[in-house]
Amino acid sequence: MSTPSQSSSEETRQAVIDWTAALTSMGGDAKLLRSVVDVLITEAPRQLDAIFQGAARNNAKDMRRAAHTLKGSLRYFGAEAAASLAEQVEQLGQSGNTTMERVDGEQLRAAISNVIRELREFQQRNSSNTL
Amino acid sequence: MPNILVVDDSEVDRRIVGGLLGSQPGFTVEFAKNGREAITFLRRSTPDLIVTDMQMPERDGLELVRAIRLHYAHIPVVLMTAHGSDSIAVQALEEGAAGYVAKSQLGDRLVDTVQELFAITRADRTYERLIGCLHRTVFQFSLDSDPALHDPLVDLVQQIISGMGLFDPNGRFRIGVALKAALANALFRGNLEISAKELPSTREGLMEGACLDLVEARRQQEPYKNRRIAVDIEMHEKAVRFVIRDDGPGFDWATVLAQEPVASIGTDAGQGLVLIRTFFDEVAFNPRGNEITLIAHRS
Repeated sequence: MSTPSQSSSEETRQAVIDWTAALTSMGGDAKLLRSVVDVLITEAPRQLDAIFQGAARNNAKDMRRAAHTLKGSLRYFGAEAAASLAEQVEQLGQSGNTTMERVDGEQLRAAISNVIRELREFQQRNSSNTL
Repeated sequence: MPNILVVDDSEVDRRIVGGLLGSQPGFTVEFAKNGREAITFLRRSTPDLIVTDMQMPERDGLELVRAIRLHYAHIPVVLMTAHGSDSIAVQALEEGAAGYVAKSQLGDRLVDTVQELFAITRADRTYERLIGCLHRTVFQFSLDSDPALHDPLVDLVQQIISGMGLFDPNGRFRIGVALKAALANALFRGNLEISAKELPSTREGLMEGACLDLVEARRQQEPYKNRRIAVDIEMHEKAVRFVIRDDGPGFDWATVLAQEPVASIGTDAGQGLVLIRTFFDEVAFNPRGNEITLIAHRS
């Protein structure tokens, strides 16, 4: 399996995913990892939208739930920085607060964007590889 | 062919759990997105086991466990717990769930946990009618330090409980799971004095050889080699009672029992005791900490 460190163009960019942890989360099954990467690429933006929609509608429950799901998905991949931002939103929602002032929404968007970029790079690297 | 229903509102989680379990030979996996969908599923099909998330919209894991306990008591339920759902998970264990796996440890533990539960449910019906005539059973075992004796002992207890009609299938699974945990504690932590850190996190890991050298070495060494585990079992129409005593130095049970089960649900070391404390009605230690008494009353 290719890893981020094998690509010279990525060496200057800090990895946001711990691929060893991700593979462990999948019980060491590389095929399952590829399959879950495909799902997360679709699901992470969906959960991110759900967070902001929940905030816009003043629906703390929906916001918290989406943040909880997103956090859990990110943790399987060891994407701790993004997961911890999602956790902050979850805690905000838990307290019934939907104003995103205490959490930097743009920072969360950027963190998710970085995760998705790295997932896509993984997808491309492994699309023709046999893991 | 074991059929497993996975209940989780997260697409990512369903894919992971489905992949981990679906890769096991003979396992088939079906899915529901929340407790409500799971109940609908159960009206048309009966899985052999349910693996469920705790936090879900439209009937969460606790509500699902309650519904299953009421209408489908023979189906064991395994909880998937996340940080933040510990207290609700302990409640679900108290209300009928048969086991749990932390989401952070799915890759390591889920398959192992599910296979253990299936092993426990594999009841041999040979003596069912005869055992049905029993009113009271007393066993006294003195086990050497061979973990291979634990499964047959738990199977025997399961058969007697089933044959005597003492608990429903779910109660039987739960007693089996907790008894197995207590025996493992007595052997590995008690007699062989292997620390929580040294023990592999999974039973599967242990069976596959992790830590085996240490186990084998200690089984041949003084002071470990002559130590035994005394297991006294009494089963009758009102209760089952297990007294398990190892020859180890004992452990500081007062500190552990002072904590609520929720405090240790996310830790490796605490899993056995969480199951024991939530599944049995009474749990007591002797002052030295090398003997545990477990009692489950018939309701």
